Amino acid sequence: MDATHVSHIAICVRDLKKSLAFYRDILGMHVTFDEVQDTSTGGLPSIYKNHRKTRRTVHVRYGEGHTSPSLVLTTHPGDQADGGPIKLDQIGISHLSFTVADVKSLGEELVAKGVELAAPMDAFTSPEGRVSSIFVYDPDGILLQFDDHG
Amino acid sequence: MEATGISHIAVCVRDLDKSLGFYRDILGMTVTKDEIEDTSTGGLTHTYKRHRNTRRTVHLAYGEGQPTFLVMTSHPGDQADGEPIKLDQVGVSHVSFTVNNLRGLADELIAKGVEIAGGIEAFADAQGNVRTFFALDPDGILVQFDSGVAA
Repeated sequence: MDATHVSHIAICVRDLKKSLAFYRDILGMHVTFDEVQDTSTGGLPSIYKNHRKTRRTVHVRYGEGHTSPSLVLTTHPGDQADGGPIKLDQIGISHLSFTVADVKSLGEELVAKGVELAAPMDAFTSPEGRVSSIFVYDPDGILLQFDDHG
Repeated sequence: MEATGISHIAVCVRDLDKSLGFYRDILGMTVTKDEIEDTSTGGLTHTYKRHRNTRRTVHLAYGEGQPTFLVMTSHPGDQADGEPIKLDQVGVSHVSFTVNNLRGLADELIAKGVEIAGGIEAFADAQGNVRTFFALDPDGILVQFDSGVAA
């Protein structure tokens, strides 16, 4: 088979308000969809750990086109999500990475806005003083990477 | 800030050869990098649960026109922790690929022994149309396929 592109990446969060304050307000992504959906029928129950009646689904993205798949953020209003995010050496999808022009100044901007870096900036800095990749935590502790490789 | 794109999606797997049997040989992705990397120094150590000396890193993409690629890692001689998550567990649950012929793909995957989460009929609407379904990769990680309509 040959896929045409990656359409979206799905992230389950505890509190969409906090996540929107991060992905929309700090990272500057645009909300293109925000709906409460029925999750009690069809294929969805087989890909859930527990029975869930509804979910709130928000799509956020940068710009248009295939270079920028949507993030599909979901939460279960009135219901607790299970689990906790994983690190890079645990089975599953540990993180995604955004390409940005200047990683170091973005890192400084994020820190100024209260975002936690996964390690001190020095740990991401090369002996030449260059920062080409950083990891930060989103409001749920999910790792996010920013790189200038793109 | 404005990102120019999503460069990659990182997936930790137990056995890269089994995963390549799925992502490369069945899904038809192309390997663009396959290297052993040192993971004992720098910022990476802070993004690991436990200390890891090395990792095998494989990049997989659909040709040149597809900028977002998968970065698949395993730890040779070392066990990865954990289990993949479902959609209602906190974290990144899955990635979705847009394909032209979903039914045809589902038939092909089933014939090749790939498990469809819940079975393909669970994803058919009242008219029998399938606009999306989920498969399980060799580690049980959910992989979605869609027809281009957001699901």
